[in-house]
Amino acid sequence: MQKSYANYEYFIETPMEEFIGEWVVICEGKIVAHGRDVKEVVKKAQELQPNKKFMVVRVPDKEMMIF
Amino acid sequence: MAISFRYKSVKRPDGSLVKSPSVPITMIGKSMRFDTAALIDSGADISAIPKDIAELIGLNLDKPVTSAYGIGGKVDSIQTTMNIILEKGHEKYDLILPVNVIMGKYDFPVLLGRTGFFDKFTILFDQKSGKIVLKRAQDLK
Repeated sequence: MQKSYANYEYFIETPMEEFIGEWVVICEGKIVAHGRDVKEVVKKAQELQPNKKFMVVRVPDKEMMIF
Repeated sequence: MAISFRYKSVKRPDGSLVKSPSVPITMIGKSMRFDTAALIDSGADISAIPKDIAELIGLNLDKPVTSAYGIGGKVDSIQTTMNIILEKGHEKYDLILPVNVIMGKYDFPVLLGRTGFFDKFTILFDQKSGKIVLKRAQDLK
C-alpha cells in the first residue's frame, strides 16, 4: 500500500472524537500532532517527522460552515 | 475506470454519528505540498479552503478580495487556483481547480465544489453503504 494512502486509511479507521474541531497530522500510520492552529500543528509535525510525507486533516465540528 | 472511498464517520458528543464523503488528495503549492482528506461538497459552486491552508502551501493570494456567500453568510474571499492530485491504485488525476480562499479565522476541511471537479467525474454518493465512487468522465485524459 502507498504510504500516503496508509495515512488516509488510518484517518478513516481511527475514531477521531477526541479531536473534533482540531487539525490532526498523521504520519506513518500514527497521529504526530494535533491542535486548533493548522500552521502550528504542521510546524510541529515537520519538526518531529522531518522530510516525511504526512496527511493533514480537520475533524469537522458541529458548526462547520458550508460555503 | 472508477475509484471508491469510504465515508469518514465521526461520533458527536451527543452520540449521533455523522458520516461524511471525503477523498484523499495531495495539495501542491509553491511553498509545500501535503496530503489531506477533502470533503466532497455537491452544494458548493466552487471549492473552498481556509486562508491558513492557502498560506501554508503558498497559493497566490495577491488578488482582489471579493465575497463568497453560503449558509454561513457573506465572507471575504480571494478567488485563485489550486493544484491537487487525486490518486488510488493505478489511477491518478492531476487537476487545477478554481478555489475560494476564505479570509479571516474560519476553520473547515478542504471542500471540493462542483466547478472543475464534478465535470471531471461522475460521482455516486452511496450514503447507505458509506461509499463514494468517482468514475472518470469520458473526455478526461
